[in-house]
Amino acid sequence: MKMAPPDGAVMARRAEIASALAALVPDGVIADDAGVSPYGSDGLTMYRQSPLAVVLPRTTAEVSAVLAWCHAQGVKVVARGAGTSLSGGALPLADGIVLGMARFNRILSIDYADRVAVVQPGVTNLAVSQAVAARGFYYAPDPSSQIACSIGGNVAENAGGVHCLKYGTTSPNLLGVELVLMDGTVLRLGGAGMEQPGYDLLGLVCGSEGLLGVVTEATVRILPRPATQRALLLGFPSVADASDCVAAIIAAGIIPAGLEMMDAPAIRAAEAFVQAGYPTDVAALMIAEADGCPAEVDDQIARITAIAQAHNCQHLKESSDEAQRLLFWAGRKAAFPAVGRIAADYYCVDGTIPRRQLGAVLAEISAIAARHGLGVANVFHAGDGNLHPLVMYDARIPGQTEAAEAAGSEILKACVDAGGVLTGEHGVGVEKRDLMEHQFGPVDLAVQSRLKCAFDERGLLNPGKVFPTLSRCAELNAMHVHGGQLPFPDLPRF
Amino acid sequence: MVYRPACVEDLAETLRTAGARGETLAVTGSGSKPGLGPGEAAARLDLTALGGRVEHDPGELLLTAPAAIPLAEITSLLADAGQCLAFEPLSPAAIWGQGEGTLGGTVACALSGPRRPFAGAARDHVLGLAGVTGRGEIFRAGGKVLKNVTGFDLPRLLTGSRGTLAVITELTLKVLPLPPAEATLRLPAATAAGAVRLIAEALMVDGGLTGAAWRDGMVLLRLESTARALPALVAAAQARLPSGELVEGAASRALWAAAACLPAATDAGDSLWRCALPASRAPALAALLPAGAGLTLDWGGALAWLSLPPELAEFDVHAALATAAGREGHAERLRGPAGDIPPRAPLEPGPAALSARLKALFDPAGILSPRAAPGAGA
Repeated sequence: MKMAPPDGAVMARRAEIASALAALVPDGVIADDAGVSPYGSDGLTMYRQSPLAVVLPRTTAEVSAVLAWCHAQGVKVVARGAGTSLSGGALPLADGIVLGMARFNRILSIDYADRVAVVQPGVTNLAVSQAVAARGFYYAPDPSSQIACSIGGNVAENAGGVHCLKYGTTSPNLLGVELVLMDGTVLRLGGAGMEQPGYDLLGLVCGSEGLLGVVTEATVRILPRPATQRALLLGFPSVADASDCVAAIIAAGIIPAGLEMMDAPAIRAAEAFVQAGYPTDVAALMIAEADGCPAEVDDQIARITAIAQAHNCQHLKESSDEAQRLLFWAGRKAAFPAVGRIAADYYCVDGTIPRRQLGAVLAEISAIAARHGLGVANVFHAGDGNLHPLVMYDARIPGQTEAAEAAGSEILKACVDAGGVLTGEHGVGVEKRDLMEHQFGPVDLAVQSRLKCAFDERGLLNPGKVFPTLSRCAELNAMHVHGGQLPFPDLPRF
Repeated sequence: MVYRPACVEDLAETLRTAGARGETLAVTGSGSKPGLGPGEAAARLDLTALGGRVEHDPGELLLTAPAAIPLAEITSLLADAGQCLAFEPLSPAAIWGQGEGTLGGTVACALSGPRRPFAGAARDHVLGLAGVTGRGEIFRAGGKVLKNVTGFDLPRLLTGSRGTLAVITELTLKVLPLPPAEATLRLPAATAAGAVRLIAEALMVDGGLTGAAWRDGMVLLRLESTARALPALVAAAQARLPSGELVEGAASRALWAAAACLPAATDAGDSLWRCALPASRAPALAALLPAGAGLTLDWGGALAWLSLPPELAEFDVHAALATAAGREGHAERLRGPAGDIPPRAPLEPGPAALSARLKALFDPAGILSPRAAPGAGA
């Protein structure tokens, strides 16, 4: 992974840039090497780059002033929430500043009449649910990093979670944002209602990975907590049995609140870490959760049980109380750190496949990892086909980091080749940027890249992420495509 | 002049030629939604000859189909497998009486039905698409999987864009199980304020609601589930809500049929307005309506249908929305005589500028249904 060579002229202006920004955000600029270092990486720790400076604004007016100044001066900006991105979405640029949104940490209003919460982007995902818990409500998207990740980052990445088959990712749960464009323009999209007029700009901004604007406020839907939740642990002698069982559950018209799968290495790692009561003699373990009113949950659990038994389920345990249900989940939600205990380092890959391809893709993943001399454990949002292979490596051993990176790329290409996509919920960022051409043709990418031009014509907001080609808007605009061939095959690459 | 391309390559060539000539095109499917239609243009682009394969995989919850396929075919194909389009697209026949339209038109106009607050809007079910931009470029976006954040979310942007950015030729949609059993509670509520209060109370707990509307002085609360679980859901709802009438089975289904969403006394000469606003603002809108106006609420109050008899055709609905809901409300006239009141209000300056830039990037010659683009005709 290479970033564009930094602009030496901008880097030479570091002190001047820092003092100009300090005038806009008093007490909010960090520009010394030691101070900016903690911002040098996000959840994708493979890559590290210190920014020129970090700016920590408190108000929308400050965000607008900083962006307008950077726009006028040609200084690049990377917005950062809690820094938990697993795709390097918040990786700084050597010739750019980081706009840290951590000080936007207030819940502004909660409205039970419209069932929405208006929050600042630095508020954590879990804090939204906690703020409305006393009234029996919650915020549905629950990425595993929910204790730390921020709503602003969730919007940027269209974050998912283990319940999004039934409740959706961030986008369906987002009703409005206040957004600042790179030139400092502040605008509002949507609000407490369920539809905005004109083009769905809100839907476009959600998941745009910080390339289109900086979110300074979000209006999210809150839902009443399910009356009952119950989980089943289902063990299978083969991944194929488990996979067929998932398809049969869905085909029977059941949309479970959660439907997760782990393979044998992931089961053993999670059980050793959490002691969740997982059977360690099965090839695949599924957690199926039903929620709703008690009669519905009883009905769903009974039907899932019958389907599982018809698919060679060899281990079946139903949560008897809330503590046990949470314990079932604790193992799954701790699967990443659990693998972190048995491997010096691990690289979490994120692709989505058509579920029917699971067996073939898992076999391919094992073969890829073996070819690179690395181990792999798989966790899988089985309901929606989102696969997380965890490639285990040791960064202290020369060559292993590169091997893990290479294995990750091959795994993602295998997902695309199986009819899937590069990323289900972690985003493209820098991590999968150079693989975009494996999924999309040149015209598809040009059409997407042009969207950036409508929001940030100079390409100053989080450049070098998502799109592999450094295309200027004037070129994209003048582009005429014939038969899928672009006129600029020699455009510079990062 | 009518262009009726038979394949995607023909369509792309048609668009390139029209672009070079600056010939504007009224992009149409089966013409089922004249009120949202493209308006006037130099020529008509008829998309109904664009065929393609239908792939439906119930176990994957995925449907891929050509945009030009009649919606009724899709609905019946899905129903045969016990599935549906969960956003419950509004039937255009109920409004305009010109058929049920195509799948592409359904997505391009994005009129989500009663289940929208509970199962998501049309935009939330469009996973991938193929199409041709106003420049004549053939492209794909999104994917054929349930969960995907690879690249910008073009499927969401193009859903509801009414053919003004690109022509959609193929769609991949998330489909969901058709709930096997339903019942509706009918509870009296004389005013919009009372109705919204009652609905908000009903929505304070998780109770399996999939519809919440108000019309003819009655709140309608729909419950859907399996036949085995439904009685318990109904009993729980009845236990915590004021007493009302229970409507079951086919009678319940009839209550949520497309035409039933509209104000009851809507004559052909009336103007019909669709207004989206925060549910809590619906009572304020109701209070501003003149005597003789018909009002129903859907989406728990967040969608208001307004009918105005001819003598009230010049009532300024946009002004009423602005007073009731500020910038969070908007209205569109779907049917009725064109007068001094425009069918849509102008967008706010920020979104208007972005929309104009997007239009110019997708369709620099401005050939795709220029009268239907956001900001046009306002």
